[in-house]
Amino acid sequence: MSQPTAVKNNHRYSTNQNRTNPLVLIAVIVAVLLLALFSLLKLLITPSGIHRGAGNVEEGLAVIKAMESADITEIENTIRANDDVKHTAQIQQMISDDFNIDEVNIWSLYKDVVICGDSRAVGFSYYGFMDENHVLADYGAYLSEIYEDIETIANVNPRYVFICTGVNDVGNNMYASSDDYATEYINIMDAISERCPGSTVVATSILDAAESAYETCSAWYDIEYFNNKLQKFCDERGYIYVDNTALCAQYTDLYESDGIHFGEAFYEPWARNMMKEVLEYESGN
Amino acid sequence: MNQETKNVGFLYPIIMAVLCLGICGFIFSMCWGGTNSSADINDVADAVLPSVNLDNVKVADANMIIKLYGIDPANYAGAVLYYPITNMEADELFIVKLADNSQKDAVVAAAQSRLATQLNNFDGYGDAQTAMLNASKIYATGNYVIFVSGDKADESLSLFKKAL
Repeated sequence: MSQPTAVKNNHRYSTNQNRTNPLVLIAVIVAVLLLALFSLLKLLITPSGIHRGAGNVEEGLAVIKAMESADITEIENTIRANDDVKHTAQIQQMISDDFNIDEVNIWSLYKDVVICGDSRAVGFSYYGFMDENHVLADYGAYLSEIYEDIETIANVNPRYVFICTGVNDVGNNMYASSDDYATEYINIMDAISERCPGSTVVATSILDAAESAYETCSAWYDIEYFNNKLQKFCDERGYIYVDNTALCAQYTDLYESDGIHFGEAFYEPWARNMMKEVLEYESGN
Repeated sequence: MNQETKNVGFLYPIIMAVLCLGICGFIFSMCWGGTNSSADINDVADAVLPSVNLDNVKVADANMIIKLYGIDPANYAGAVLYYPITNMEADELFIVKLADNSQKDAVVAAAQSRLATQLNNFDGYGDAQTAMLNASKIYATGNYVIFVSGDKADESLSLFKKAL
């Protein structure tokens, strides 16, 4: 059954070949060749009539290579420096009498912030207020662990770095004195500032524990002394220090049952308090 | 030939016994090892919820399920997650109704990964949370998978099985 079909197809092919006019075929080939030649000439000759030489390509490659070797952080810092004038003006506008930080979407001001800290700071990302990549916090973390995050901070290259930790250090007697604690704190701020010159590092006071929690850890009575010492050191070194003491006293109802951690509702006023103090400091008020 | 037939004739009862055991095993696995359930996932979750401490959890949306488990509920017949209301709680209930039983391994792996993350979070820091997580249950049957962590995880699992 299949053989006659094959024969029929062969026959049709043969008939089509016979019908092809050689002159038409030659005309098509010539047209294609002319088109190809025209396209090649157009490619080689620029509108100004200058031949695209190898020199231009090399110049282009040099520009690309220069862009590849440029430090992205340096570029960001240059852009940021140019932007600083505008930023300062914005801050001054925000701190003016008309500005009420309680009325703005506070998290819009935290897009360019990295927070380093412990389980309390974890809440900033856990509740979805900030991107996880901007919250370098861990359960039970100690102050000294921030050293391990410095490269990550450098990669993010934020405008502000907030350090929100210390309760585990005080509670577990990690430092013999408040002087040792504040010295370590300043060393970490120095290390971040050196590695991330475009970032402003901010110290924040250790959030107090609830009265009920003091029964489980008497060391937390020292929180006040550690905070006072840190504030003194920051003032001496010109670092911004944010005091959260009044905030904790105001929102005692937002402590979790353990008396150490805070519920979701605490994070917004906490963020407002920190940013407000930073903006006031930067505006010179 | 007749001699050979006589020699292998004793094998027939053995073959029959093996076949019977195989059929019984198949029926057993169908009955006890995971028949698909037509139960609605919301009904199943409602049946389990009385054993969950609702003060410590809240309902998650699809984005939170993706964030915590790395699986998109849209790809399944249903997914319900009650996750810790604060980052210091370890209570959790995660139920998934599979669209296809081939998804089972991936969901179980996602639950195991979530459990490992939580254990890592509280390791050396939250003894009560660690104990709760160590007593948590991951169970897969038919077209359903559950991960439950809480004071009454055993009861939760029992209610889950009854609801299917």
